[in-house]
Amino acid sequence: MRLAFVWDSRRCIGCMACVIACASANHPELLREAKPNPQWNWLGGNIRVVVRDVGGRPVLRLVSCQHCDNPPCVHACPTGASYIDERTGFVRLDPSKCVGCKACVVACPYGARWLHPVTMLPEKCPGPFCSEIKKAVCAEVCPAGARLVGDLDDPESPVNEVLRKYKTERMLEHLGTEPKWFIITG
Amino acid sequence: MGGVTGAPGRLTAFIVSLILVIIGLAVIVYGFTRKEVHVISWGLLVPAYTFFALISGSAIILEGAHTVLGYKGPRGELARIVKIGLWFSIATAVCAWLLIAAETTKPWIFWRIFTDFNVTSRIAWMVLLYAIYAVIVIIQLIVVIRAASGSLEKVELALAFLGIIVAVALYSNLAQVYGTIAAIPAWYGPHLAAYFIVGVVLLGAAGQTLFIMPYAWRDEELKGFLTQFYGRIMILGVLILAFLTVWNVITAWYNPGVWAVYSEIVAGAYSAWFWIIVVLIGIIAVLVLALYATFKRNAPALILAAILTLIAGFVNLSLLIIVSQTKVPEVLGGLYRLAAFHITSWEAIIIVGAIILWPSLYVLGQTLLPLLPGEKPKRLFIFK
Repeated sequence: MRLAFVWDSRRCIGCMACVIACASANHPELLREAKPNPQWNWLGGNIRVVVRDVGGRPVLRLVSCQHCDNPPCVHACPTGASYIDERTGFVRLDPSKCVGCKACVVACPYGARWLHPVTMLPEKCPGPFCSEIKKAVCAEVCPAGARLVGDLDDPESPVNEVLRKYKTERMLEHLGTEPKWFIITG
Repeated sequence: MGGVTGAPGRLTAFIVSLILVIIGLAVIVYGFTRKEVHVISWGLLVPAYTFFALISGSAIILEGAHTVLGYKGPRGELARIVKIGLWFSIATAVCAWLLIAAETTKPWIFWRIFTDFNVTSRIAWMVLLYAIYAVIVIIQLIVVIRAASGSLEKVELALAFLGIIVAVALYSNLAQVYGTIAAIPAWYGPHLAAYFIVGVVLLGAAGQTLFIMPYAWRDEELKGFLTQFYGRIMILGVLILAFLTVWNVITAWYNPGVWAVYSEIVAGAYSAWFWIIVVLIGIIAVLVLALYATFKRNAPALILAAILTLIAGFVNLSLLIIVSQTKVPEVLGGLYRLAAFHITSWEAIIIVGAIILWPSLYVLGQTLLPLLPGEKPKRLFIFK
């Protein structure tokens, strides 16, 4: 199984429900204590918001772990604490093995990892709650149906259906990371 | 030298250095307990570790010149500083390890790097190679101490060869820890490997000058020899480093993506540090002072050059490692993530602890081991 994310930029209304849901479900302790993620100067969640002004029009990107097939974070990790989960194809982190060298945070070209202000260990998608319920809360709460998660190895999965139907792009593809995170652009 | 080798003076030196070692360790632990998350991932402790790690490679100067090439000096002067030079490397390596341990979140599970070794990780290789290198230098020191009571030249030669090979692998790999990270394009693998190996020689010569020269101060012949020996190494080292620095700038200039980040160092907010500390002081002033010291056999000039080299080396490593994390390419082309860097109090505390520990551990070793010229082991195989 190779689970992948699809984000439909045409459908996204920028309501930030996914961002809030990710932070409140996966790191409620940080929201309760009003502790931000100091590295992103943002909520203690796994989705980073990037906005760029193009010709007076804002272009939005919601950045989280791209679950790369060739992940720089996994190559950089000295203990194998960052690894590809063979059952799901997701890039995961085993905190019990992590020494906290931060090589994965530095190695990720997407800036998708951040350091938890209390444990001082890296955090990333999927967070502890999503891992537990085996669902992506960002996709569950999206009111516009702009987020999808599905198996790339299953030809019938909704993700493959969408990939066949629409024009998509992947972020920083030229780096050879082979991200499994697709953006529908048209 | 009588104060150190004489029994009452030695006891005082032992007690004072032991107390300072304990204070240094306590300061490092205290700083570690006050740690907080940094805006950038690798803060000042990483360049500080790299700085000490490069200096600890200075054993290769002695291994290369004395043991492998067989250069002993006109009156065997180099042979007289081999033991103290090797101990200097070990004491410096201990400071480097403590700094990198303090940089990690859970240093108590460091052993997992060996048991769960990831072959694609540069950091895993760094830890393994550094451990091998340290073991080689420790064995070398034991062999050299024992050689005082019998010839062990072939063993010394084999260890020196092995030490140099492992050191080249170690420092090339350490450069790749930074140099192969695609997310930070101002770091260049191939350049940085050469940069780091030259850095080992230059910073190592500066470190040995500062720490070994005081023991030669009253011996005019030895002082004159060491002034010229380290002076020549520093002249060559600084010239190669200047060439590599120019090469880095030119290469960055021709890569727009890299230049956007590297220009922060040479023309941006950090450029004063680069031009004044690295270029003016670290290259030009050091070159002039080292030339003067070598041709005039002027030891104070060389010591000043060594101090400036260490300051400039630390600043240079900090610029290379930190500035590149303050301006990182974003997922949208042409956009950069920006982060401000400031030195935190806990980082400063840990570095102060390492600075206290460094000379204290070095002196403590001398009070216990026969490292100075003419000293021989009398107790427990290698002790005075």
